[in-house]
Amino acid sequence: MSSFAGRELLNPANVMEASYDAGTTLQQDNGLNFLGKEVDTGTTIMAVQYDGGVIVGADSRVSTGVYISNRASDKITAVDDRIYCCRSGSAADTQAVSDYVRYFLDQHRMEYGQPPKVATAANLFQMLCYQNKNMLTAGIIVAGWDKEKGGQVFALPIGGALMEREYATGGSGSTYIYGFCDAFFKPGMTKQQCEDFVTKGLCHAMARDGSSGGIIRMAIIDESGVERKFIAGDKLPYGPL
Amino acid sequence: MANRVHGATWAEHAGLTDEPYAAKEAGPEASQRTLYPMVTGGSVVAVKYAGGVLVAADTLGFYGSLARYDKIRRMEAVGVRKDTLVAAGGDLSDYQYIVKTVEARAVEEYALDDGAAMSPAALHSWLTRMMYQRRSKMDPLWNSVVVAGCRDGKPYLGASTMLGVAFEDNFVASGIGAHLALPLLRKRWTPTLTEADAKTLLEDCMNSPALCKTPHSPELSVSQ
Repeated sequence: MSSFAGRELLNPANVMEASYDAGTTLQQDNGLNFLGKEVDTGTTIMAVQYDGGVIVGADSRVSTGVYISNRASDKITAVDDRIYCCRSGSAADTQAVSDYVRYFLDQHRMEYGQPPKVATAANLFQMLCYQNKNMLTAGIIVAGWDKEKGGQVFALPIGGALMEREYATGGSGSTYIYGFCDAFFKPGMTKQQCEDFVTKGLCHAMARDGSSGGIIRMAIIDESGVERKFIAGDKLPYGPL
Repeated sequence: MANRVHGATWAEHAGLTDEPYAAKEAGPEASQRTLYPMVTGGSVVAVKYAGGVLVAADTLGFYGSLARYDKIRRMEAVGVRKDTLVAAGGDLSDYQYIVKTVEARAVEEYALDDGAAMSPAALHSWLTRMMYQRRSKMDPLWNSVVVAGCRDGKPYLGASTMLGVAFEDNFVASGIGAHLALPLLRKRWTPTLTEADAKTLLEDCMNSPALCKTPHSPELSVSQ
């Protein structure tokens, strides 16, 4: 948010002066002090429900200030065999939260005796994100398949509210595809239509958002398991749906 | 498992442990004492009629000025007898926490199994205390809560703000509705309103041209 705007503004007068003082915030932050910045997954993430499962997709860019610290990261994280989460916001915060959820869900699974419900995972995420809302910058989408309700998508924006949705988008890049999603989403899509919707949406967000880019990673989750797909950066399907 | 998570963070909320994050320059979002609302809901309008209460809340969740989430629930029937509605405008995550807390209390009551159930008035009072306590810790639940219910045929309607101000009335409105719907309600409310009239009245309030500045879709719920 404010740090995103700050990254883009380089002052020509002192852009070559590197500042190694990580502790202080200078009045004229030259933007090249990326060593002092937090690692942020400026991101586009998406999860869409289709008849029989969910498709989860994300870009792969992780930035520290203006420097892209990882151009092929995996923002789709498994918390259980058929429950995945997409992470946006602070990389450290979201990794810590999803590690905790994986740990708690594993214990729950042992007691429950069967694969946990997606709603359970989503509620665990909410518990952590809401109770620690002062200290976290974490926008998470939880998506998965369970045998009670099939494919489900849950949105957990910053603040810790929990909403079940037919599809959810998140991250800085998602602002550029609200129109696209409103225009092209239809409930009850087939798997192929869903895949096209996710890839096109991510591709268009990555085209416009400076903090999103790299490759598209997808996970298709249904009763039979998880299929991971990957679309290389030079093969992005930009264009009409 | 749950206690460990809750225990650690409740202490932090009460300021009993240090906050190591405050020491690091992690950016303005990292350590704020006062919480700012993130995903917010709009107005809640409620009206008593002869024999019950009617509550209306729109279903659009705003993220700042972005109309981000549609079809969200901002009212919930709670209590052992499910005879009370708790609706709220303001931050959605705080509202969901309020509903969870109220439902946890209802579960305790159910387990006691002594036939007693918290009345809507008692619930309103309890929620007001909770809101006031949080505001006194400079960590408010950023909501305007409306508690509506019917016990033994007598309708009850009350509201609490995020500062812990509470009042009871024949009709209440929160958010922008407080400014726009209340004049309409004052003009048209009568003690002998029927359910159909009440519904029309609320629809007129929610659909009023002034409220349409922020588009919303109303969802009505009846409490009898």
